[in-house]
Amino acid sequence: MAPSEELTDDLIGEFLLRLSPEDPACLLCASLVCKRWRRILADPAFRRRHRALHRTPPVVGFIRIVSRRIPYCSRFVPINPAFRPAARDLPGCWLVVDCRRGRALFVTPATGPGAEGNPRSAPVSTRRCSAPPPRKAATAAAIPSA
Amino acid sequence: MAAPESGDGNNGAARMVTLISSDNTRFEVEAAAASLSQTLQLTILDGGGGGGDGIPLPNVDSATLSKVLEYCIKHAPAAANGGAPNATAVDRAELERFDNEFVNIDQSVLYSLIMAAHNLEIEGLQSLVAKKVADMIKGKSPMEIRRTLGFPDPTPEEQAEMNAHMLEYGWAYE
Repeated sequence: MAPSEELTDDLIGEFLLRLSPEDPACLLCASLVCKRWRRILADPAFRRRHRALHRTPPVVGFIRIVSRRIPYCSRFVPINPAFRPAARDLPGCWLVVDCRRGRALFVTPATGPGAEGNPRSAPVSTRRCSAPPPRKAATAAAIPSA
Repeated sequence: MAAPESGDGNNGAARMVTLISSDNTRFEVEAAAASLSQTLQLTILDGGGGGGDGIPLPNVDSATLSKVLEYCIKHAPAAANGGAPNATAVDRAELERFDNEFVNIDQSVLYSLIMAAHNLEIEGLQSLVAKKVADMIKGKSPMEIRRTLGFPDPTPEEQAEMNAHMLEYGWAYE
């Protein structure tokens, strides 16, 4: 008897809520179990409840600047060994310029400054936007998501 | 399993209420224990469940209800103390030990408990059972989770989708 057959979305959400953010791979695995679980986990309301229950999001790692000169090189260094995106997954020739509330701002000579990604899911989803070329001293700031 | 009796934790004489399961079994419990359920609390405050009447619970069978009441009876004294500010560490450890053993049960019972705790709005029990299922999922691959929770084998379409995702997110499992 599968829980998906007899439990409502609310009840499945109840136990998915208890999956700890300390181990993000666990949430990822749960999202692959079936379409229904994925839909529940992807719901913004679920994410809000998960955040409220577990309070401060954990630090899953940090971005280390390997080279400040072109070709730039930044690397994601995970803290939890269970969550280990391959180093190659961070785009090459990207220099991290700011990092705030789970979002990082990179600069890359290929597309101009302003390629924005989420370090917790940088290999999965990155957003790029073009910006005017920097003057002498370029400044950039990461804009936290709501 | 016989529910352990709790001797104290009530103000004055313990008021009893009767609950009737979906298969018509009658359970007589202290009002304080039944009141752990937000749903029942309102009825009990209105004076229901006493005497020959009894509160019918058409969504809960007798096996599940007896398990639910076992939890309520054990937790009632602590709940009556308002989160038990004067509970000793020993009391708390004892409750924790009880909780751990309580959820060490067959999966189908676990699911029945999730639904009953939800219907009866027993917050502590809901949280305890949900935590247990989350622990069963922890550290497992999607296929292992499906097997653990008794999902049927994935359809070819589901399997293809899972494989595609593993290609993209495989690094998370290394």
